[in-house]
Amino acid sequence: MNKLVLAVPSKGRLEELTREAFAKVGMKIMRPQGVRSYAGNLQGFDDVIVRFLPAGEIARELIHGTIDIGITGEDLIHESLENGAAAVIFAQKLGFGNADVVVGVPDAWIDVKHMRDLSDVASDFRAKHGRWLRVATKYIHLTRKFFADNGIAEYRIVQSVGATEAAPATGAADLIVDITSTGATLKANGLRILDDGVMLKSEANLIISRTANWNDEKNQILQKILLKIGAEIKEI
Amino acid sequence: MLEQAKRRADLGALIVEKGALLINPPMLLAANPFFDLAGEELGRRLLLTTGNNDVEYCLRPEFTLPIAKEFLLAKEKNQHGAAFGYLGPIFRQRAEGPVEFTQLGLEILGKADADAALEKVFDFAIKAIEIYDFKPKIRLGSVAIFEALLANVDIPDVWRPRIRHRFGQPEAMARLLERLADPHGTKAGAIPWKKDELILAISDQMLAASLSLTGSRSPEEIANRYFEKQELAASNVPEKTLKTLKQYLAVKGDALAMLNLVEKSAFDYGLDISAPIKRLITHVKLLQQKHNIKDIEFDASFSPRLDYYTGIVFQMIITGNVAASGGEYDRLLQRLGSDKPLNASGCSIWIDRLEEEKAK
Repeated sequence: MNKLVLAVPSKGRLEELTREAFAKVGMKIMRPQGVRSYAGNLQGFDDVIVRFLPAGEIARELIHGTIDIGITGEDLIHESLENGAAAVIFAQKLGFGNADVVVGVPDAWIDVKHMRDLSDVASDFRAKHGRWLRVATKYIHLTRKFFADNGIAEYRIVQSVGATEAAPATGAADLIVDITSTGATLKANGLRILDDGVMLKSEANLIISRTANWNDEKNQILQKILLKIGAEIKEI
Repeated sequence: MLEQAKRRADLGALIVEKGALLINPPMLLAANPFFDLAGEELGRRLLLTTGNNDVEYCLRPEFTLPIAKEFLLAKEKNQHGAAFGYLGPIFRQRAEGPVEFTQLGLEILGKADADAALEKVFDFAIKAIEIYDFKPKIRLGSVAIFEALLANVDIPDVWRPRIRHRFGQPEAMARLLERLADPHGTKAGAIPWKKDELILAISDQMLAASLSLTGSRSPEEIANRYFEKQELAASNVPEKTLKTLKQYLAVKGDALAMLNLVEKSAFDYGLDISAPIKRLITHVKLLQQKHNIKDIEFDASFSPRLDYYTGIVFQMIITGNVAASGGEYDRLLQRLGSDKPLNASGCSIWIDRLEEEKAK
């Protein structure tokens, strides 16, 4: 099978903006069976299959190579697997879906402005409270790496699936790591982003799977698409 | 294959010879105690699975914790201490995926004579490595010397535990010492608040955000650290202290020469840290004379990252790789629920590495 599989976010703003971005460069993404369908095609590209998938699913499948290329957020690649980024190529930033993965602490922590403050707090915490400092997040891999890079070892992650920003108020955690585009949700929950607490600036990317089954024909189709999008990748 | 089996049998005999009880903790263990003891650092390397009761389990990542727990369960029986040996598989996540290792080890817990216990641990590790016909190079560190130094230097008390926590993490330590030399970002000056007013203002802000005043950092704790930051900006940590710490952490080389040097400099600086230095020197001499080990290095900045290590720590190295590591961790049993610190020392030996090197 020598068709190229392109995965597109299946719903919401991400889907709309992806379609717009592709339409702008003359590639129309078609969803002939309607919004409930997961299959589509790319007008004028007979050898491309379009699959509509949730953004998180696209990240996972790119890493595992079950789809060839796809549009999803950079943060989701990092979060799906510890070394997920090694399995893909970020071919082109698409200028939408911008959001930052950030460290947010209660605004009332007036003594904590930087990661170095947090490292002091983490260090003292156990002796004062008899437990580790707790960080609520779904970005486990990113958090571990960022905290380790900042020399913070004395904390525990509390896995959070939704409404992470509520964790300090419910007592589930002391601070959070979460994704935010405007910071408004954090602010509404009495949280503040540390001055050097931006772990990742993410946006929607056209991403190529390194682990997919590549051959000359598929590579040629890919090059055609990349040319239209304005990205240049020679080696996969 | 046959030779490998024979050597492993010899390892088992070595445990018995040391008067230790061969123990085999379960392979499947609750994950939470490991997270509680070692935090996310070890956590990321666990092989985890979630039970249908929503409890997280892991495959045994090391032996010390389950053995120490076992020891505490039979506290009455073990009131004069006990020695345990183990030989079996452990499981860790590596960058390239999960790996099974074979580990041999000794744990001597709750024995009154800490020196005799440590000497037994050294002897055990060296003999185990000798079964593979290697003579190790030994790298020594001392948590005790560093803690004594830190207790003796002139520095505001709040910084002692924070510096202690960075011991064994050279990069984080360097950054912290740099920051103390130049607490940029904080401006000295009149604080526009009285402390009790500030505590009230913080309380109001926390309540407005529906934060508990007692569940996490308290308003008082936040205010205290806020003031402490301002004070630090107003008066730096003495330059002499930072220089002493940096100089000490850079010490590395032939153990006897370096330890004598440290002892002499400490004396010149008027710092009373000779007891832990003398103790380590005694062990170095034992290693040289009794075990005939020539290559012994003291590295002042070397320590496992875990904060329950207390006294002397070591690694044994063959052909550039760590084959054994261990030391003293008198705070471990206390962390696991003992009402007082108890002597503990032990080591673990990476059998796969020895077998690989032997096969070369």
